[in-house]
Amino acid sequence: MNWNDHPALSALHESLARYTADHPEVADWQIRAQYSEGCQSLLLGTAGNGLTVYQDRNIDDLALSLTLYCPSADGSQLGSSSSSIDPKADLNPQLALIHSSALLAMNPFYTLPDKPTSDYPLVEAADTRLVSQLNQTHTDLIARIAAYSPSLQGVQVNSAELFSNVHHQLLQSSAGIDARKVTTDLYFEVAMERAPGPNDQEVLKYWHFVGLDDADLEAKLDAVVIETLMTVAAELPPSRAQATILIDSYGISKLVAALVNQLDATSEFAKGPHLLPGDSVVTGEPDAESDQLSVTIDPSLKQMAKSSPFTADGLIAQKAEVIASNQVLTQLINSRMAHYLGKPVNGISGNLVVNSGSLSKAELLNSADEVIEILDFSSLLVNSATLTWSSEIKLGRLYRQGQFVATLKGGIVSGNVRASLGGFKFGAQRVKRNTVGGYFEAASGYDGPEHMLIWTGIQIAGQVENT
Amino acid sequence: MTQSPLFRPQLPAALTALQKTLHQCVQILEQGREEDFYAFAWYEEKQTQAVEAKQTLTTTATRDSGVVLRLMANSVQYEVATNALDSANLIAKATNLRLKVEALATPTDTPAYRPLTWQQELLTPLPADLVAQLPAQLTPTTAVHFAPLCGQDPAKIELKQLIDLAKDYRQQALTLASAVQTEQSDYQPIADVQLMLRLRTTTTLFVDRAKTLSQCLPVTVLAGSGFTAAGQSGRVALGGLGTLDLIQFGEQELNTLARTPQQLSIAERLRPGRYTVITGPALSGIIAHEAFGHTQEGDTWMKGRSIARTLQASGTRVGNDQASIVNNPALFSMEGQEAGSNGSYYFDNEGQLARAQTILDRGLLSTPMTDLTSALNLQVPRTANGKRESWRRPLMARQTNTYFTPGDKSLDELIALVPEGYLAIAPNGGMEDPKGGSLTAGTGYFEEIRAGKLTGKKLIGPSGGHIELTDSVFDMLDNIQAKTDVQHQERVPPTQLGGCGKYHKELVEAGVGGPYILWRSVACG
Repeated sequence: MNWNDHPALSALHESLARYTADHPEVADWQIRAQYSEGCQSLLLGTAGNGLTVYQDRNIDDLALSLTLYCPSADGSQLGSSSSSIDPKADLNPQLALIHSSALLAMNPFYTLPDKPTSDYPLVEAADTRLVSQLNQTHTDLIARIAAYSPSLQGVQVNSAELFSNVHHQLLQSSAGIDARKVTTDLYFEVAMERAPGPNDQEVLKYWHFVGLDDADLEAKLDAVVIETLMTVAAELPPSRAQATILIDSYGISKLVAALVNQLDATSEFAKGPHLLPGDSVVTGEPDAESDQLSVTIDPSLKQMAKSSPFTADGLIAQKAEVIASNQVLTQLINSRMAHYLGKPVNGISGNLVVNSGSLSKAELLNSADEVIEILDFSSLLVNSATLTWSSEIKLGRLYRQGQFVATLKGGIVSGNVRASLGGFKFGAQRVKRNTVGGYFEAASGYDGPEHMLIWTGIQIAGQVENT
Repeated sequence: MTQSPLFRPQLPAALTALQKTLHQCVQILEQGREEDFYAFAWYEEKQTQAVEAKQTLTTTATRDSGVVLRLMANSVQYEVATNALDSANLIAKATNLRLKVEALATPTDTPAYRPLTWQQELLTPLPADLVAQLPAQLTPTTAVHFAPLCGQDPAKIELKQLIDLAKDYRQQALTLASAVQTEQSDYQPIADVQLMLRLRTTTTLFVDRAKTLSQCLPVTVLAGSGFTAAGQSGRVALGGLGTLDLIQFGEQELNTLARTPQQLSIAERLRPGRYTVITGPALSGIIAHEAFGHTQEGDTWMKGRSIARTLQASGTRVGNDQASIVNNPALFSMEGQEAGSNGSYYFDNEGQLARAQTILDRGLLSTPMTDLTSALNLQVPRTANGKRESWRRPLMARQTNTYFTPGDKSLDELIALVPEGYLAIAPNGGMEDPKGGSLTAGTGYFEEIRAGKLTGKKLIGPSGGHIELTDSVFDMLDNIQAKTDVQHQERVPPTQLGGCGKYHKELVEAGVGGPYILWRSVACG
């Protein structure tokens, strides 16, 4: 894939040059382009834990879009509009439509980012094996899954999915920005239940990987087997006005991502809940026994979902510690928000790197009289404004004095991120976790502790009835 | 607002040529192997104009289109999907897919799927709005086009109309918010109102050896929220299958944006527990969607991931006599709106014509909603539930518009039945567990009911956010005490805009609805 010789991109540039020459009120433009190739396989479980492909897809996708910027005559406002570009259709009417739409959407003026004064750094956001041999690599991965699945004992594998993707991305602007990157991602999910059935519980797990080295599919299948074998005789959790729970890196990444979202200067501009430098991320007085949260944003980590040499608007992506010992150090400020809020642009963007603690999982479970370990939430969606969350427990385990007591299912656990940061401990074990992102959840890369014990700000509605 | 005669959008002329290319592709894919191959071609185009009105104004216009070529052999669906739509490329893709499948799939004695001819199709009654649009002569190459009756021609709606409406509605809400703040200064004031207005016309073509179909589906959406600086919010979502006439702002919407967030800023927190709850139409619909909606999806049955298959086979009752749920893609009018919802269409992504299906009838399960694969695998009837997020994504059995059937009470009568409980009208998502038989659905807040009357008091969740309702599906469906009635001639309750990510991905449009429902006891937290 070579954008330099791409006929659709070249044609767009030629049309744009003619159009802007004829319409000097179009002051700036920005082109985004992405060419993607993908392989998708849906697999169905068969006798003996075989897995057979029942839907096999290959996709190619070229997407071009253009934004035009038109300042008002007095320079106080800037109109802009974005549209996809159909490279096969006449380009001039498409440009004219974007231009006229931009004049309808005037906003306070802001300056667009200039071309960086230094080169974009090298960031490994893709696995070259996927880039060069997508189809064969995907076929090999399917073969690995199909070969390993029959060896799984005590479970029935119901289904699996594997998607492999390569994306070639480009961002160009009238200011000379020319930013390019290649990214890769794999999505793998598997659903299984205890054998022999029938069962009223299953375990569905999914993972996103950027590179093949992280795609330890056999180990993932083994881990799901272990969890599946726990799904016996589950009961409702006890109701607790103040519960102690243990969550894993999936939950931690969701809570921290929602918190960091309030450090984005866009949140301040929107006048909703936001955090400023110097603010504490904890509401109330933290417990003396609690750990403290520190978060670094890092765009340079190898093969992570938010690794990138550049930001969404073409700045060089910057690494920075944004929260240290529960205190906000800096916001994440893009060019537009910098102009609107009168703050310096900083281009901080990337993966979440979270500090870890000193205790093992067993020590965390031992550190409270009663701990409810949440193995799976039914749906953990953190409200990015209130930083509250509430979910059914899809699968959990009850421990008392560190000893397993019961498997749990059902009930509602709810919490408040900032209240929970007043009483928590991180585990010592570290993991990396990626979410490629889509409609349902934002992209995120997480490098941090695998476990978090929380004893403040958590309620559980379970067994005990109201009176 | 334009009050011109109702109008059915036509198929753009440029797509007629593409239909011919798709016919060529289908021939390349299956010709000479019709006994063991089955092929179709699918084109999808989503043309979108959208406006976001907040402190700043943002406009976007997108046109996303792509083709899926499918060849089914030995029960495997092989597909290529591309947005390079020139004839030469599509024919090359079809040729290569045929070669690939011939190399992979050894001939078997299993006969290929044979699509229904028009003659066979019409042996089963079709909904009136489909029948009304069928040409007199129907052959495999007869171009059959469907579209809903719209108040305006969607192709003539300009971005400026959307901008003016969004800005006007936002200003109305901000003005009311200021007035509310003046009246009651202990409320935290509204920080902003953000609105998104979108008109998206989805045009699809389907071609196989038996049918040549097309449809234009304009969907208008006005969605947004008003919120305080602490994040308490009120959300609205209006619209449906049609044009701007479906998004008239009323007092209720303005109050939701301007008054509710301020009221919630001083609301008490709910004590977690079990309560008597009345759910509004959208929340009733989410419960229907999560309860025996997902559980009744054919691919979930096929994978052994749903409890419904064995329950249906054994005739086990899973709810009381009030527990009836319909999945209806052919929903083109409903209580309070002479238009469909965003889950409505005339045929699915595999060319199956839309018909309503009662998936739960007074506590008894039907066979599932199916896509082609699961219908063949399970040997159950095909229904029009083969859907995909877009041409880029795989096809699955998905819900269209899912709703509880109405009852016989008024809302006042329902409230009067509650000595102590809550009314929940602000939907906030949901999640299914088809194997475990539990469900969870959220609401932004509760309105308190005491001694059969609304007290005017609102409550938020135990942690200061939304409230989650959860229970065993069986308990829930056995706890339906009463439902409200509707006046709609076909007894279709209000069905609101909705979306569904199956488990956690593959977002599709899926309307949700129902009457107000009184539930005896629900776990809330």
